[in-house]
Formats: sequence, structure tokens, C-alpha cells
Amino acid sequence: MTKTYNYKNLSFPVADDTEVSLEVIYVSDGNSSHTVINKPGDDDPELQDQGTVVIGKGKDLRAETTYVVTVLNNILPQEDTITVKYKINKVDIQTHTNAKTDTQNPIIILQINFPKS
Amino acid sequence: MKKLLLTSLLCVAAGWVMGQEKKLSAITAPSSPASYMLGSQPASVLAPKSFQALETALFTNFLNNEGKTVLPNDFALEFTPYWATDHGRSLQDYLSSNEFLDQFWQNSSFSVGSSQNFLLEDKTATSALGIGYRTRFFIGGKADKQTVTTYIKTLSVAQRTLSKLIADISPLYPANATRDAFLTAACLKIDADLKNLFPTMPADELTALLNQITADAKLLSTYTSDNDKFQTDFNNLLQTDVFKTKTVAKFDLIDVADKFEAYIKNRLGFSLDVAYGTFLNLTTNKLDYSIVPKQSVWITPAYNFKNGTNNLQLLGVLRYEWFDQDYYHKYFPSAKSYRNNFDYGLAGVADFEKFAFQLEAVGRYQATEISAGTDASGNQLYRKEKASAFQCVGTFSYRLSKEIAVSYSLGNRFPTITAPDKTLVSLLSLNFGFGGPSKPAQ
Repeated sequence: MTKTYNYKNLSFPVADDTEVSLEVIYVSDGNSSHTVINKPGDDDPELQDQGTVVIGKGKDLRAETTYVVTVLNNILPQEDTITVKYKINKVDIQTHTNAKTDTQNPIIILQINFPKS
Repeated sequence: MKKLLLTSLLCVAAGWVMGQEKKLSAITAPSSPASYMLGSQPASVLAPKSFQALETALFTNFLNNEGKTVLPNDFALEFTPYWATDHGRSLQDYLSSNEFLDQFWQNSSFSVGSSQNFLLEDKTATSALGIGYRTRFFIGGKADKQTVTTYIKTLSVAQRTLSKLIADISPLYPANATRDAFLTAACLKIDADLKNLFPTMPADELTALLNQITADAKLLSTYTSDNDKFQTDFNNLLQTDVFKTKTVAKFDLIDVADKFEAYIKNRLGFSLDVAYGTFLNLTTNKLDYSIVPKQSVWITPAYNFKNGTNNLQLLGVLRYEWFDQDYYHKYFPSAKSYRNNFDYGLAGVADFEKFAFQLEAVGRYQATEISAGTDASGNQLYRKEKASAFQCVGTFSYRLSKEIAVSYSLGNRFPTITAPDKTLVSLLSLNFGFGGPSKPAQ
């Protein structure tokens, strides 16, 4: 079964014209995931597995909380822990880790606000 | 060949024996060569996942309170260095890697086992330390690539569906004060998302799904806009209900992940297991004197393939062992020992929906040199002694139901010491198992 991990009240101050990019980095081996970023406005960016995706400029992200949702599976028998790191503009914003005995199908939710820097 | 008739037996067995029965298992590469060499079955095998954990396991077990080295009793440890550190490789990256050196290192594992109760023939308990190594190579064919690609794509659709739904629903919790208001808003999002993700989904199916979600959500814990438990329960409910619909069922996240996991443990293609094991016997129970009585090497090639929906497997086994005869003559004087022992085997397994065939042949060749006195000049003379044996058994199994199977085996077995001329095997067995049939083990 899946298990939801909710990380609330994350904040990343950013200037109006600074472009914001989110990076998903696998630390543990054998992860497979899809990430959807529900940002203010339409055209929510998506990311298969790990990598970097542009969310938008700082001024366009202030209206609402941005929700980053990763649905992940780790079915590699040799791995016993799941660890994923999230970075915004190359700065660590959250690291998620869970033992596979808890679940090997975690749903990770980050709630991020982008106040003015 | 004179015959021994092993009359029909009624066997009660936990688990399937059809097709999956590994009669070559006695000579295939063991999972822990170190424990195998000691002939022990430890209660548990330590498997440290980091170098620090390895260090702790070794220091805790091999050093006593006074800081002196000791051999622990009933100890077994298996360590795979590659998996002791993180590499951040995705599942797809891992499965598509066919580099020889990559596989060699990824699958290399070292095993250590020790016992303070290794019995010599006169029942003297001695200390012994087993050391083992094994690795594995895999070459997947076209069928493997296709299967992996299909699973990756299917899993990706499942992940995308769920992440999209949850990403759209998550902001609705703080925005809605009551359960009804939340459900109304959530259903609008789910409706829009599923129409977008699965345009062919029939309208009545979608309506039925939304009604189901609404009904199920009313049974959940108390709704508050910041209740984590409700949100977790709703995510689980959403997943259960959405993946139950006819259109989305084939993308059921957990079902796909479970099947994919089962597949990667038994992939279609060619694999080669290589293992080595040896052990030190401390016959005086002191660390300054030890003998290496026996060493073994295993090479186990296997080929898994499919014909339609049927699983087929060819398995070969080569095991070469060599012994220190002086040791065996001294400490096991009445046991017949050979200097070299070579076992070889071949098995074919065909696993169909209702029945399975298995044919296996195992051979053994042993050679030794026996002292034959001295010549006129006083030089030691030897004579060579060789022995060989062969066994071949075919098994047909039929599944009467999911848990019950009847099997019949026919063939000839190795001659035994007590009845060397009676080698016929004719065995009828009825097997009661638990759980469904599984694929043949690789």
C-alpha cells in the first residue's frame, strides 16, 4: 500500500524576476517516480524520475501555495531505504527518507510558499 | 540395472513442488557459500547495508570483552559492497545496465560464517571459519527489454495518474471547511483530470466512480481542513476506487509494482552465477593453527524464456570441489574421501497453466590418489582411483486446484552404499500447498 508523507510550511524567498526551478534528486538506488507541481495558474510542470524542471518566476508563484507531489515506487530488492532530495535553485529544500519496511510506495507532498526575498 | 521400487507416497508439502522443485539445489551455488562450507544453517544471516554496520558487526562478534579475537558460534554474515553506498540510479537505469564490470561489482557479495561446534569424526567440537564469494551476470534478450519497457511505461502512467489527482486535490483541503464542500470540489477535479488522462473513459463509468468516492469518503475519519489523517485516508481511498475502474484497472499502481518486482527477481534471459567457498578448521581451537580442508567452485548458467504465456527454464550446474586428503584421513579416518569431486547437472522445466514437466540429469565424477606403498628406493607410490555416477529423473505434475497438485517422478538415481544395484525411482506424490503457483526459480 502507499503511505503519504506531508511536508508543510516550506518556504523559499525569491525575487520577483528570479526564475525558480525544482530539482528532484534520487539519493537511494532503484527509485521510479512521477512528480507533478501544482503551482498558481495553469500548465503544471511534471517530471518523470529525477531531473530539473522550471516552475516559473518568483512573482508568479506568490498567489497560492505550490504543491509538489511525487508518487514513487522502489521495487529493487537490494535497496532497503528510500531517499529523495528536493532542491530549489540548487538549494536544499527537503530530503525525504523512509525505510522500505514502512512502505516501498511513498507519496511525498511538499507545500512550498515563495515569499518575496 | 536392478530396480528398487519406491512405492507411491502421499506427501503433505507446504508450497508448490510443481515445476519449482529444484532437485539440482543440492549442487547449485548456495546463497551463502561460507555457511554452506561449514555445513551449518545459522538462525539468522547478518546483512549489513553500510561499511559502518559491517565494521560494527565484525568488531562486536569477533572481539571479546578483553579485546581478543574469537570465532563466534553460529555466525553468518553476507555483505554486498556495492549496495553499502548510494548511487542515485533510477530503476530504469539499473535495469538497462548490461555492462560486464557493472554487473560483476553490483552482484559481488562476500560471506563469512563461523562455528565453535564443527564436529570431527570422533565428535570433538572444533572451531571453523567459512569464507565465500559469489556474483552474477545477466544478459537479457529482446523479450526482457520488451517486458521491462512495458512495465516501466505502465508504472509511469499509474504514477502520473495518482500524482496528478493528488496534486490537484491537495489545495482543496485548506480551501474547504466542510467535508461536503471538499468532496464537491474534489469530484470536479477528479472528473476533469480523468477526462484529460483517459479520454476514452465512458461517462457512466466516471459517474459511478465519483459516486463511489463520495460514498466512501463519508465513512472516513472526521474532516477538518488540516486533518492529516483524513488526507492520507482520502489518498488511499482515491487510489483504491480509481484503479478499480475498468478503464484504469490495468494501471493499478500497487498491482503493477508488485508484478514488476516479481519479474525483476526472475527476468527472461541468460544468467550466470559464479561462487567460491572455502573454510578453515582450527582443529586445536587456537587461532595460530588452521587447515583448509575443502574448497568449492560453482558455475550455474540458467536460461529463462517464454513460449506464449508458458514459462520455460533451462538450468545447468557445474560444481568442482577439492579436498585435503591428509586432513580427512586424520580427522575423518573411516569416511571415504576423494581428492577431487566434479558434479554436473542439467535441468529443463516447462511450466504451463495446469501442468508442468521437469527433466533433470545429474552426474558425478570423483578422483583420488591412494598410497600404494614405496618402491625399492623408498619413494612413495600412488595408484589412481576414479568413480562416476549418473542420475536422471523426469517429473510430471498436474494441478488439481490452486493449492493441490499431483506429481509423478520416474528415473534412476545415484547408487547408494546400502543398495548399489537398486536405482529405479518411481514416486507418486500429492502436494498440498498454500498460495498460488509461482514461476520457476532462476
